[in-house]
Amino acid sequence: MSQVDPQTTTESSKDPILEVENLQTVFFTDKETIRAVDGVSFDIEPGETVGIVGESGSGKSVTARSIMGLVESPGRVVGGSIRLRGDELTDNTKQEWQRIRGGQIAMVFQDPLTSLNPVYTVGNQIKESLRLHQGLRGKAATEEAINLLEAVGIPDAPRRIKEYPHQFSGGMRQRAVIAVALACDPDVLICDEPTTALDVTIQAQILELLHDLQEERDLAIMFITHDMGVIAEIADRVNVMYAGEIIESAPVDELFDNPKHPYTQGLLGSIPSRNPSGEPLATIEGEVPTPNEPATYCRFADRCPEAFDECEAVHPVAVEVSETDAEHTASCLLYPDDVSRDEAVELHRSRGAATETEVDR
Amino acid sequence: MSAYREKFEDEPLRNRIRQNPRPAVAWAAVMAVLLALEFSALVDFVMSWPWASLVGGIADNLPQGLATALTGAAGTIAGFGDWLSNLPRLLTRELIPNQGYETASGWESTFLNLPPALAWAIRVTVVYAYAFAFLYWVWRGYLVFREHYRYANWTPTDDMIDRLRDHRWGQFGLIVVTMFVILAVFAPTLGPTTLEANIASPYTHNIQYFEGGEVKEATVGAANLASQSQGDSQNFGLGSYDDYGRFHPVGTLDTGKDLFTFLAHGARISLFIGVVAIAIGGGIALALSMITAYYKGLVDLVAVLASDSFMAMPRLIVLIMLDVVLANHWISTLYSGGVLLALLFGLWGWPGLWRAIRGPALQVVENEWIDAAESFGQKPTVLMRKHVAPYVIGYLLIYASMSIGGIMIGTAGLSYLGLGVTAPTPEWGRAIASGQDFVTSASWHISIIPGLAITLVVVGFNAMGDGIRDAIDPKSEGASADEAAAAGGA
Repeated sequence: MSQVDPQTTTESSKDPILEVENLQTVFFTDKETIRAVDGVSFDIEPGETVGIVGESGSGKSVTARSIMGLVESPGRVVGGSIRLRGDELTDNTKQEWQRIRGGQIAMVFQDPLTSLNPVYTVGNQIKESLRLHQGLRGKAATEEAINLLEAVGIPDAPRRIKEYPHQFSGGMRQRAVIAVALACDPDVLICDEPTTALDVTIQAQILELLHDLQEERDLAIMFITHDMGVIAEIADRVNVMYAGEIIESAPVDELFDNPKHPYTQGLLGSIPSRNPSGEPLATIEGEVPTPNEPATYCRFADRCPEAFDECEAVHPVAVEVSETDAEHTASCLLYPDDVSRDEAVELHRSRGAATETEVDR
Repeated sequence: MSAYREKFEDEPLRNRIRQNPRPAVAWAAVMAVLLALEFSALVDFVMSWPWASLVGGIADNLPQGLATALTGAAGTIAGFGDWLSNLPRLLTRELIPNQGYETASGWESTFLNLPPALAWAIRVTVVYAYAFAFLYWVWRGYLVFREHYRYANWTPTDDMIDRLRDHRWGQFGLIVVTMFVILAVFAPTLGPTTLEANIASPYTHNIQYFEGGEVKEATVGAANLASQSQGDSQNFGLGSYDDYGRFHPVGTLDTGKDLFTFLAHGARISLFIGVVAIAIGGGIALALSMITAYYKGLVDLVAVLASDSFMAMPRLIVLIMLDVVLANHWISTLYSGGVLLALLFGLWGWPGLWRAIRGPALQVVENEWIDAAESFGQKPTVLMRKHVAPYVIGYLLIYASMSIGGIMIGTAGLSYLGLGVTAPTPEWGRAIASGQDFVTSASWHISIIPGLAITLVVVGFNAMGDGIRDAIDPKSEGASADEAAAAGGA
């Protein structure tokens, strides 16, 4: 588990570099309208790592792609705002996106096997982005590419730079992909499950690498994963996503020590290392529902061990779990837990009505 | 591929050769000998460009003194070039002549006084041996580079090339196509006589023949009249001599002209039309496939509808119509109508080619490295050119090599109908048409030989396409390519 000094997480003196507010990304299929991302809000500060964790299909990757402007038809960002240093991104033109991508926000994809083009050398691909973002060519680009490969911990970089992706091992390849992203010199790095395709020891190395790079370059990292262990390792702050919504958000230690949302509790209950050996692991029954209609109820209610009648009728909004803990929010009718249940339900009902949105084609 | 270019940029090939010069020097020495044999032909080719008008154009826009100096220098260089182009070379008719006359003591004025058939056979063998040796040496050059000087010890292209090396059917196609191309390129040297003398203007050229104990002269035209293949009454078939001592490897036409010379020059225009049409059609198809794969959706739909409309028109009938409509236009005078045909086949060829590569293009765009490149802000044009086009070009090559056969059949079909390429430029289809009355007679060769030649060349192009396909995509081994060939044939 990471040893983050509580001082650094509670003290938010810096302005956030990336602000996502009530983001809504919808896929209009012939059959139905899928609200893959439904009202997601979070901020990232420079030098901070924000983790987004959730099951497959909970909308993590779509959130990342929305921030990069890479959502493809039939998907569309229909509401909310994404601001980079205060500049709105959602109404960008293609040309404006091209300036943002890479230079401001870069992305590391899940599978290092497929995110490098097999017919070009690794050096060629790093130089491609160096040329785009730093205007380097020829010898200068080669030298910088070698520096970058060394920076991501690839030994014998001058030789490796002329090799093809297939000559690299999985971990090496992911390092190369990170080098390509760093070649853009971004301020925000989005990592979409960068360690999922790697084995555990390599995972740890990549996480350490990201941590070092972050300190060196003051990178803001948005880290997407379904692995709670990885999140504990790297994130300063964690957002738990479920069916297109963030249902709990807290500093990493707080979340692990004191999970509030029943879903988060269920997730943590299913990690082998956190639980006493010998006992069978707890599971969450059922599957993530497809969010194909506006949320007028709690999408987790069907699977929730603590569900009660109002869960089917009131859509929970993000509230502080208690008055003393402003950094920790959960979207659950059980909270805030320092008021009575009826009062809490009423609070969610009134706040929910204020933010109700309708999606039009 | 540009991967190689990038490597040269890093460490010049020069340096790597300096470190280990032996293989490169050995290769270059042999290449130099091969080039020296035909050096004057190269110079000839360069000198045949319209330098005079270029220099004149530049000189007109220069001040007097400079212009004089320029034209003076140009004149000196031209003189030197002419001298170079007159140096002896290996592959000429003059070095191994096959035209002569037979006296009582044997053949005169042929190569080593051999019979014309033998002299001609020697010249053809030398040309083909030289051409194949040259191509083999180019291939060897690639292997030497790959083994000794390339930085990467393996690239994805190597696998494709190695698979082609084991692909007998593809190699058969490659050899047939190569022989066809050599026939077209060396047509003036390969024919037993020349286009100008025998076909284009026979009455301004003379030949010597031996009759009644003395050497006489006659015009080629007169000799042709006496050498007509007219069925059972008079025929000059395969490997025959006519009364003027001229050798006809595959007989004469019904007009008495030499069929082999006709075929060799006909190969030129077939190849020209095929290559130009495929370049136009393939270029449009590739550009369009990149656009539709990037934008998808509506753009793709519009392109589908457009290509469907094009394909709904019967191609050959539209071509015939346009050919007739444009018959009096200046464009139909270029290369006896060959340029017009190439343009029409090209403009009508893109829908089929685009349809063939649309799927692969859409598939390649889905790869994660495209997303990755896009996520670091790569421009759409570079994205498609660098990361998608190289994959699609492979597929385009397959279909291009298969439809080139269709275009050749189309061209021959039009000339068979008396359209398209007009006389005096030889076209295989016209030979077939002129011989069709004699197919059942002794003069069957007039139609059958060009017909077989077309079939063989088209099969060769299809086999080559099969080979390329199996090389690019090993999973496709054994799949049928007949549809593409059939579609190309309209």
